[in-house]
Amino acid sequence: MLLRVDQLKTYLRSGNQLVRAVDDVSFVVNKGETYCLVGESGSGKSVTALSVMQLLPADISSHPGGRILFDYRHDDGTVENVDLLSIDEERMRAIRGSRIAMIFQEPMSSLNPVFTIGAQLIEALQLHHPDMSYDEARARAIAALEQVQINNAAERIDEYPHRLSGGQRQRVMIAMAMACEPDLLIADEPTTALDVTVQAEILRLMKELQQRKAMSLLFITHDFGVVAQMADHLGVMRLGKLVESGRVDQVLSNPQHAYTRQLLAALPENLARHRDDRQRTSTITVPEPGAEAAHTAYERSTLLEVTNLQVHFPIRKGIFKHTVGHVRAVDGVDLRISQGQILALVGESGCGKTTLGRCILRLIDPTSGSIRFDGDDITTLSRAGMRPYRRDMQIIFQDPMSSLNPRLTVASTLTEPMAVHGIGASREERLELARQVMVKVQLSPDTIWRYPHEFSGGQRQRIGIARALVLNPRFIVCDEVTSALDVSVQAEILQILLELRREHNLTLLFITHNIGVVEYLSDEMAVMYNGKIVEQGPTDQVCRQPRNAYTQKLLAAVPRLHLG
Amino acid sequence: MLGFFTSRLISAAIVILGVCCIVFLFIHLIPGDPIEVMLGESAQPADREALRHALGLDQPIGQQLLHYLQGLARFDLGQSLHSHRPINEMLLERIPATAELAVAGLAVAVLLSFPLGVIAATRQHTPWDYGTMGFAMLGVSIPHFVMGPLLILIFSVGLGWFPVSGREGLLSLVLPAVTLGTALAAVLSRMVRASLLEVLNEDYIRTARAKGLDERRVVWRHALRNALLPVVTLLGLQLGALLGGAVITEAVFSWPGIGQLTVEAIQRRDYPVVQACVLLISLTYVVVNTLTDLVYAWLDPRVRLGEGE
Repeated sequence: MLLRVDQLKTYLRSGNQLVRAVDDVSFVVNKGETYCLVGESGSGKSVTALSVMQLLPADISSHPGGRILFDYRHDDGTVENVDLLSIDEERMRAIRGSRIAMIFQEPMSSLNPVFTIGAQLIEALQLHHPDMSYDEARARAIAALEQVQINNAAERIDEYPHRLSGGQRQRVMIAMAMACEPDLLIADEPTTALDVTVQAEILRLMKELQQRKAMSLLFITHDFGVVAQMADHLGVMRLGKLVESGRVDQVLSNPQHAYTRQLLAALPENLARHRDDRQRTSTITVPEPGAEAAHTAYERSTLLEVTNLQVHFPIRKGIFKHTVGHVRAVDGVDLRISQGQILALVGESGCGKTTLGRCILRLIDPTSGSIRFDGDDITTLSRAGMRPYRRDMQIIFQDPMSSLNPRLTVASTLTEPMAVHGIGASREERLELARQVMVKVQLSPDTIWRYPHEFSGGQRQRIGIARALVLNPRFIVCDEVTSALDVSVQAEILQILLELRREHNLTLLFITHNIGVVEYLSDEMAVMYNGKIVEQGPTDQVCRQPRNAYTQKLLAAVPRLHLG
Repeated sequence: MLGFFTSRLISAAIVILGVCCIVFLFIHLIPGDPIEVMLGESAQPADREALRHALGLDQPIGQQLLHYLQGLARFDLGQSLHSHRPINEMLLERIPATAELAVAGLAVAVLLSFPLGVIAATRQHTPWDYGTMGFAMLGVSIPHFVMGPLLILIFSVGLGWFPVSGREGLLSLVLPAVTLGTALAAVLSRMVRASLLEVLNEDYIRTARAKGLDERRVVWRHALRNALLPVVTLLGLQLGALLGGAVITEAVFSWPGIGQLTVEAIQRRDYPVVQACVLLISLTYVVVNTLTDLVYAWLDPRVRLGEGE
């Protein structure tokens, strides 16, 4: 045993409210093992980690009960069992960073932008080894960077964080955490912000380092796939309580608590197993050459057709901002979506999928190529010319927090587009239509007079869907609509979308990086890489037998709950 | 970094040229005949012609601009109508006084505002916070023409510690510098506080704490440098204003700087001097702002546009 959290209570004060963020939680992290804390947002898993680190602001947090017992290894090698809740700040500082280190979710903002990565690493080393010379610390920092597989570490050590990618920054964070060879590493959603292929590399790296250094890991995540890959033991948190705890294989194969079962059932890959396969209306029946009848039928059902679409953004440099080159965000894309079909557009960040989605809606102007909607060429239409099509083509955005105007009631948000497009004769009629749409997305129609902040994230995303639906569109671009949501909420949203598709014969371009969601939801999928579509076909076929090397790599990187 | 540096300098040069042209046009923008405005209606026609010729106003406008710019290049700003002395000499006399006051005022402001802002931010919602921000509110509210005389009454007339006015030795600098500095410190300390509070919530501050750094290093090393970015912008603008002559403070303390010279020149309708003062003030702004941009780049590596991104 290295760390024993014993009946820990952490209460947070927010205004006049006292939130029982962690309420009577007990678990043990053994030497050299990985303990995973799983739960949805607000379940208290991060607060538990920050309690162990004693990094919660003292003025708003309190520990009315419990102990956090830790085997503190002194520099001379003697081990003392201390209660982290009762030792003073100075001793805690000696433990922080040297015996217990922590890495965080947001690699983009977790490094100080005004210092080089070397300066930040060396600072950590010299802090806990006061007699270490600068040269020695620098050499060890380079070694630490090499250990996390940063190429050219000796040169890159003098880079500023903004020159590194997200994955590289998280590697630097790991290097910094590992530099002092801690006994316990706390990782709070360390790969959530990263692409799945980068996530796979980081997870492999963490596991490898852990084994080499015989270090314990307290790993916090919401992703059961990651849990299956990383954990020895697992604890499921809900509303501040630990509802289930045990060996990972036991909990995952035979969950005891209803909430754990519910969480596991909400995973897209489990949803997919229950989904009726007959729903799938795979329409890609490639016509035989000469089969005239089949050909025209296929043509008729095509709703959206994109041909050799390119979107280039100029790179401007110098005083006169002359163009020195182009970013080929979308670089020659062909897509065809049939009426009533769900096409998933998959790819990692920066591959151009969002740009493609927005360009199809003419929110971004294409550089070349053509976009045909329902047979009409809309590539070069003016704003006014696009207006009739806006009604038919809608978009739902990723972030339900920022995509709704906080100063408009839901009623205004929903009726405004109707007024613009002349739907409904009067305000009353439009409000009635808005109420009907609210029912469709499973929200109470009485809540339309509320403001966005009065809703939860999942509810807001439903309002986002409702906003797209009020115009009764035929085609919706869904841009990472479930990425910001918890898995149970994600499951609800996906079911609403499927329901709507069935009812209205909606056509969806579903942009996502989540393969599980793709498998559950889509009829067809297109894999995008560096501005190009590298593979396209029926979802089952692409997932089972990917032909393209990148698709294979992408699918292999997805952490699976059911290994093998 | 070098690319950023040269691009900043070149754009500054372009702005300076533009400023020179606009200042040149000032004299033509005076409603009616500028000569009449300068000399008054009762002036003799011969005098008018003499002045017109002396100012070069009888030449085509393109040629006038060329002459003006050539003069500037040689640092020849013409002559004062009032004292008939070369204007560049008059400016050179005054610049040290203004620069001295500006630097002293700024020093007072920085020395007061940084600690106050840090104290307020790190002890948010405590009496320390309310106290320092109360002081800041007071500093913003009291105008220079009240603060100046008040300080004179207490420390010069009452206690006799400092001279009442004029520029004789270091002691005479104290009261005007404090007058300027406290008002500026008030604005700056609020800015330091707000900016620091924001930065202290950043993820990299949590990282710094997770390393085991003590609070002093977290605040002064990791947070403050990031928090200074917006403050530096404000500081640059304020320094520009101070160097352009703190008109009111210089008047209150009879401080022989650019501000006072400008006021005198306006009162005497000494247009060439006014023109020169405006030009100097504008140029100071441009130079100080360019320097601010460079300091910014030094503080924040992301601003060094020459490097990627």
